[in-house]
Amino acid sequence: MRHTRIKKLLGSYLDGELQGKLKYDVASHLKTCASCREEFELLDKLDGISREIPVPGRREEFWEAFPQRVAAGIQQSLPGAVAVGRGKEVLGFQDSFIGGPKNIGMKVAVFPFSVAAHALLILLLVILPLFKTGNLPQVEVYSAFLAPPPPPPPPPPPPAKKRSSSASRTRIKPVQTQAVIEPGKLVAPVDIPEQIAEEQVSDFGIEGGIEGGVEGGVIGGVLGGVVGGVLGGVVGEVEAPVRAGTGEIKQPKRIKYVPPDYPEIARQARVAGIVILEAITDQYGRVTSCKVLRSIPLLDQAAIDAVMQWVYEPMVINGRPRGVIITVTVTFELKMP
Amino acid sequence: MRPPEPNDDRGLVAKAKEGHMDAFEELVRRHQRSIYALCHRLTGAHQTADDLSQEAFIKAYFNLAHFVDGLDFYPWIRRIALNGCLNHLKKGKRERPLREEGQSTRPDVFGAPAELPQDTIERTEIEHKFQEAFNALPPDQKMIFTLRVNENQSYRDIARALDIPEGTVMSRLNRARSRLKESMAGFLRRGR
Repeated sequence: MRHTRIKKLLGSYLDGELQGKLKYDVASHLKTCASCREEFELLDKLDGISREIPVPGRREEFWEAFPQRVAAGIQQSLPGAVAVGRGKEVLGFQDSFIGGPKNIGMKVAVFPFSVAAHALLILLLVILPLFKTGNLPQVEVYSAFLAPPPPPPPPPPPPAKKRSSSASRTRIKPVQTQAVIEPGKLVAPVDIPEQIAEEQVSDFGIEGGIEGGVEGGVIGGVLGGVVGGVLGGVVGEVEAPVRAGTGEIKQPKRIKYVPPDYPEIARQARVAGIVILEAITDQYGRVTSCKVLRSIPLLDQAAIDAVMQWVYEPMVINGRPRGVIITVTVTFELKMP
Repeated sequence: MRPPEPNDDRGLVAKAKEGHMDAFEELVRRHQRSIYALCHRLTGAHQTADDLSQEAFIKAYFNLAHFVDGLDFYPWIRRIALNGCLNHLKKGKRERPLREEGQSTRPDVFGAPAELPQDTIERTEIEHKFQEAFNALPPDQKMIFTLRVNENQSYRDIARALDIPEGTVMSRLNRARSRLKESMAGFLRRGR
């Protein structure tokens, strides 16, 4: 007989349930096969352990009370057991948690009052507040630290001048008579003026100069010419700035960059984005003016302040430096802390 | 725990059938320990064993009329208790028994003067491990193993008690033993 088959029969052999040839086969196999013998001993030992495990004992009181508890259980299970069971001494734990029959008559009498009391309570709690409304509490908003204070109201327009007064003032106003001063003639002042008016230099020309000529101009120079200008140069040398990025005019190279200051208020309000400006440079490449094309209100001023400090490479067109109109973008990014 | 002599039981059963509560209480007193032990072995918890053994006796009382005179009382009440335990084990996966045997898991040093404390501790450890392995068995295997090993029932008796073929008894017993052996193998070999 095969080893595995015998192994399956070991339990039955141990239990003494095998008879005849099977019993003999297993017994003879056990004599020769060490592993089966070991297995058999293990099974025997298991049974031994199971038999040896003592049932944890209970106290003698437990056993003495046990039949009574069973009897009590029987009484409770009988039809109409409640009355009988209560008469007996009950020892089970569950009995101490189960209350006796309630006084239902009392309940019925109290029930309408209970309902009325509940209804009254609901009326008080729910319906009355609907009719009696109080003022809502004013909630103070603490946002002053973010938003700038509102601008002061514009001053009231000046009151309309009374016609009579203005008329009288004009009437009273002394007519300033300007002494006719002849050029080239010294005249001693007659009286001391209270206020010395600024001298109008233009009035004093150079002897032999041309009217409208420039001080220090060259005699015989061109009217409207630049001092030290090139003779034969084109009149109106400062030409209008050209727009960069159009046609053949390239965007000039930026030489000096000043980063924009992130305004604190914008940082706190977490405002970020790109401000687009139109900057105009002079012949030397300095930004002379700029205009906001795409605005982010909190960031515009910072962008303008930064761009005004930028300097570009002077643009030379036809051998002449020219101002340039450039479109620039200033990016404001919030850095995550 | 062997059941007491069945001879006296017959008279008591007859009296109980007539409605003598005292006779039935005497029957309970005679068998309470073995039924309780059986329930405790199968459920592993005092409170559950207490409830189940009580329930078994109560059920027995109400079914006394069906008891066939001339048979032994103990196998009958045991079968009732087994059914109760089986039902409890089948539905009772959700309630794990509390480790309530604080006293019994502690080594009984004074109770066994012949043994050295070290041996006692080792034996307790093995018993504890066995209990764990046994509790992990499926209900039917638990039951058959208990009936065979602790109640010393023959395969035929078990088959009759549980209403299953003898072959099933044998195969389930084999399965129970091999599972117990698997969980206990390390311990048993070491103890050798």
